[in-house]
Amino acid sequence: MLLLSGEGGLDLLNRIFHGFGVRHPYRCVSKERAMEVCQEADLDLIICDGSLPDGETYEFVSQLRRSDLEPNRYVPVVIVAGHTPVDHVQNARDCGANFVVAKPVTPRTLLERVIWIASETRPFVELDDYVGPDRRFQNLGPPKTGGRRKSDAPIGAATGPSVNPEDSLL
Amino acid sequence: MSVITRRPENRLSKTLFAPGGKSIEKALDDAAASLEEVRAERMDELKAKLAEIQALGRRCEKNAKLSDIRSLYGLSSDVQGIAGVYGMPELGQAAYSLCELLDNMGARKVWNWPAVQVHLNGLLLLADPANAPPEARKKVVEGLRQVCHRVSTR
Repeated sequence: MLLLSGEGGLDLLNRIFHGFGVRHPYRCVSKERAMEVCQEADLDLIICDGSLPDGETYEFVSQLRRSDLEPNRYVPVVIVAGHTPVDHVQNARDCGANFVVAKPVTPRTLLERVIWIASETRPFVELDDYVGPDRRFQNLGPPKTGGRRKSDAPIGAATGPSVNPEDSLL
Repeated sequence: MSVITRRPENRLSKTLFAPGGKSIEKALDDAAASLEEVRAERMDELKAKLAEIQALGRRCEKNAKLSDIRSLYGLSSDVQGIAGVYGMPELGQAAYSLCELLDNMGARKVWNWPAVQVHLNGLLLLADPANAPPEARKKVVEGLRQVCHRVSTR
């Protein structure tokens, strides 16, 4: 489903997806219509324009994520944004979108993101103040603190007998 | 705080990785060809939006309402989207710079006409690739970014 504010942008995205082999995507120009489509059909992917007036894009995604519309509440959502200041990206992340793609949206950029989303294994989490894909993207491994942290056991000479591996129960 | 974790079926993955269908290269070629079919229409739209930006921007010389700033922002965002797709990167970057400037001015409720004016002039220049060689176009964009940065940090 494509949700964009203007027909021109909608047509560009429609053309790109048509090239990818999507014959008849649902085309919406308002949050209300998009919500109706979510109630009527099972969707595979939603692409939204981040510049819908009055933050409607973020409202729509947040509302969908918190709805009882199975399976559409779990559907991957990509937000396309022309201008991407930090607060817009944070809004997109916190409303439950999977990805933000900056304009210009070229076929290659879009296809790369779609494949990435189709391959991702992030779980869907529900908290009091957030519903959507797990926002933690990266697995950075253990913290690089250069040694033990203060709360870890102190390092020093042993005060008791060491455990003999041969005494192990396993 | 309770956390519920789910692993719902990824329908997109099933659709995308099902056997058969198009190769990635074929999909990209088809998408590019599909965009080319409407190049003329989109260029007309781009020209119309640029004309609207110029008209609205210059009408706001003395003072701009928040609704004017929002309209200019929306138009600039549209220009950025179309210009970038149809191989006019500098025009898209200039429109992005105008978006950045308008966003900042809207948030601070200020209006800096000289900064807007220089962006309008920049868009006029960059709208026609024949107006300046690539190096000069890049310098124009760099200049607009500097103006935007200076106004935003003032």
